[in-house]
Amino acid sequence: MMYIFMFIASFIMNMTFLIDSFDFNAHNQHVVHLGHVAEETAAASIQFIEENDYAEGVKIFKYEQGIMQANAILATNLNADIDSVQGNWDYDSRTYTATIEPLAGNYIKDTIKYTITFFDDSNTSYPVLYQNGSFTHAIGDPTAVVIIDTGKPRYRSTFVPKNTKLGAAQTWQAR
Amino acid sequence: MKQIIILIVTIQIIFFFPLQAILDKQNHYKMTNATTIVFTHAQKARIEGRFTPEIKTKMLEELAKYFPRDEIEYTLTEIPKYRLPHYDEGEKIHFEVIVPIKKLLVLGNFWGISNEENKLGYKIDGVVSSELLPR
Repeated sequence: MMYIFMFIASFIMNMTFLIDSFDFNAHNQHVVHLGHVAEETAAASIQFIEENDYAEGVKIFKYEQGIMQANAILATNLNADIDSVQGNWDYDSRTYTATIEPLAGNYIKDTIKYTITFFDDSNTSYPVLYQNGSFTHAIGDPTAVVIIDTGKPRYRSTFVPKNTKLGAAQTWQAR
Repeated sequence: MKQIIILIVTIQIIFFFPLQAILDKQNHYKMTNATTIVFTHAQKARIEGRFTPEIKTKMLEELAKYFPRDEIEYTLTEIPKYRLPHYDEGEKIHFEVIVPIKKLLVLGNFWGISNEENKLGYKIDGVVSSELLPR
């Protein structure tokens, strides 16, 4: 009888280890992917610049166009529903805050929250140090910073880590 | 004879857990590397406005270090996309790469899982914006 209990206990312990190890690997994989997506989203949001201002030497982003591009890039790369985007633009802080719902079959299970903050000649005297949680970036030229929060990772154990949150920044360069 | 059969089965069960943990690590390592390779080459494609034959070949060479090259499936934007002064839904570079993961579970045959059921096509797909200016 004791052997049966020992076998069951050993089986449960091993399965717990295996499942947690799998979840850890899957989460790491998600973080790497999310890093790439954050970079691409930031790059997309600085694609467009006001030509008339630029002709006068002032670099100001086309916010609305950049946000549209960023939304499209983020939704496709994170397999989320572009029609579910709910965004709020605050002109004073040049910050766009939005949420988007992941599609079925996605690693992400919670609502994705993201912010895009623009730093350009209309609101910034460089240099500026941007800080948000563990993401810190020194800004010396017109830049967009993207922070994406994909919610709780898919851990089946009770020791669920905090939300997965990553940041990326891209600086506009004249050509 | 009975004891030998029990021993063989017990050894298989005992070895399953460490071997499965190692296999999971290997698979995730390969999948993470594949993601990084594809996104790295998507950056190169952004400069050119598309996946040129050179970028495509280089990406497949890199992926072939981890996966059999002839089993990698892909669909890539190969016609130029441009960075326009305004948002255009069509001007984006798409990519979809499927790499084969040949074994998901160790001792698959022991658990009654066929080789066909025991594999996965891992898909890396996405879209990036172009940096190529129209002439």
